[in-house]
Amino acid sequence: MTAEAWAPVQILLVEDSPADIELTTEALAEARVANDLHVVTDGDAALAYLRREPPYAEEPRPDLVLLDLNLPGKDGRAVLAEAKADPELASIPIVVLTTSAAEADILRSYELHANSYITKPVRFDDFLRTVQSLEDFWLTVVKLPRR
Amino acid sequence: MDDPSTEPSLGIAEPAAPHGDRELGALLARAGLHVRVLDGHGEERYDNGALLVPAAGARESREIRVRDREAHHHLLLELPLADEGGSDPQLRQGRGPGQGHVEVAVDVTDAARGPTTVASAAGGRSEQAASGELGEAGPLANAHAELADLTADNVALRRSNRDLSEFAYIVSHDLAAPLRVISGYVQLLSRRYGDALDERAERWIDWTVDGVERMEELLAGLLTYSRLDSDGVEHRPVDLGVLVADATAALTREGAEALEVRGEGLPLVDGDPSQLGQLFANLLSNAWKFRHPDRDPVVEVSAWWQAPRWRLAVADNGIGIPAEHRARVLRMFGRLHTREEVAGTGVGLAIAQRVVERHGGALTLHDSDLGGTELRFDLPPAHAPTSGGTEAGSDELGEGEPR
Repeated sequence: MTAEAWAPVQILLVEDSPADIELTTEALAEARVANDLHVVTDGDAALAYLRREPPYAEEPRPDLVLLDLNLPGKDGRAVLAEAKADPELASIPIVVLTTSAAEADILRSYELHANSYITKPVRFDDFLRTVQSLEDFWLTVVKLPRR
Repeated sequence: MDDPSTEPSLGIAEPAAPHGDRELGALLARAGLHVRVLDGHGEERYDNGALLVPAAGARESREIRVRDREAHHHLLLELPLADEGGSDPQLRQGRGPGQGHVEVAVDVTDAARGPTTVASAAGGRSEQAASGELGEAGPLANAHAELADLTADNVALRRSNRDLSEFAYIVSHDLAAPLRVISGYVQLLSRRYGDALDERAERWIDWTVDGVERMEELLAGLLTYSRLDSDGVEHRPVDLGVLVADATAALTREGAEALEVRGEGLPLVDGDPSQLGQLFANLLSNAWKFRHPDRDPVVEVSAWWQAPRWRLAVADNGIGIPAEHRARVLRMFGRLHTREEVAGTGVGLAIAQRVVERHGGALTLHDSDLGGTELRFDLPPAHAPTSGGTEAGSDELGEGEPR
């Protein structure tokens, strides 16, 4: 049962830094699992995307959201809180990706029911491993129960 | 227990110098409070001689480490008023029995002058009420005249400390993001364009990544250090035996199997489990990092009761720290060795010292009987002795029974 047998995983990346977006894109390009990456750069757009409000009405429902905590406007914490409070969206797994290892952030994210929390590593190799662990997470936690 | 005939006479009638009064030090000594001021080398700059006053017997011992970045060092001392103050009209005036508090300040530019009163309060009363009733005569009254000024200084200092700690937190947190971009893209260049690069270019990339990682470690250390100030200190009973065992296990997992850690009969202390865990992790890790190439590394943790606190010693048989460099290694990022010799960022001991200070003590460095370095500090016991309940060793400097 190879990863390629699956339909591409729909991933929504919520990230405002162009450098981080491209780095994540490159890491996902080396991923073992076929994936379609969609990117929005602020919190309002992220919620609009998830709710499929215009201009995102035709976009697929993401299988996984990678959410940066520090965003302009409505920040990652607010996105997380609103998404998890919305019965339509609550089942979408959200992984918080952030620079901060601060315990306060971690705590807050868990209180807001992030599915997992990952501090962005400095080394690209580590970043790749992180992305791969996300795939494992996705394959086991997200995809399998649906079949 | 008070024998007035043996008490030193105090120049009560004489007004004290505008700052710092020797009388206050003597007064505190008579109340059983031992105050010492140490400079950055652990050298004693002031001692109010409480342990030398035969009648009192030190109820509480405070060491103040003078550090150049803090102009004033404040500490809150408890005055056991019930009996010790009984024979002393100055301490007794306007107060009932119970606990009183006096906040003293030490001006580091002239530590030898000893402590100055900032504020005082008797048990259960407001500061104003207590100081109003106290403000009559003698050195305490004199000090109260400066109360307003010093309290304002105090508030400003606390604010400045808080700002500094927030600054360190923000800097260390926000600087990590651009670092990740630098490191990520340099590595991505190597990964994707490695074929087009020669050996020298690859070496430069490695060095860039090394530099970024080092910066990240420094920032992580800075963050840890600043959190010691911004997060409060929890007060819980902490079993040092368990803490040392945990720190040993963690160190072993990181490859320090060869380090022999000795630590029998360690006591329960009162403190913050995570900060104290960090303290012992740093000290044991240093014993491993700075082991002597010709000796099997050994570190020994011991404790003895020296009322009213536990004295702790962490001694190793490593390469040691020459006396002239001891002040430096306690500073943030202070290092004696190149990174090629010994890995690390130079924050370990600075953090250790801060943890000890946050628990009301001071960290001092000494030669170890084992041939390396010995670090000594003190921590409060898990169950503070009730007033009058000073246990073994209350009247002497010597060893009580280790638990």
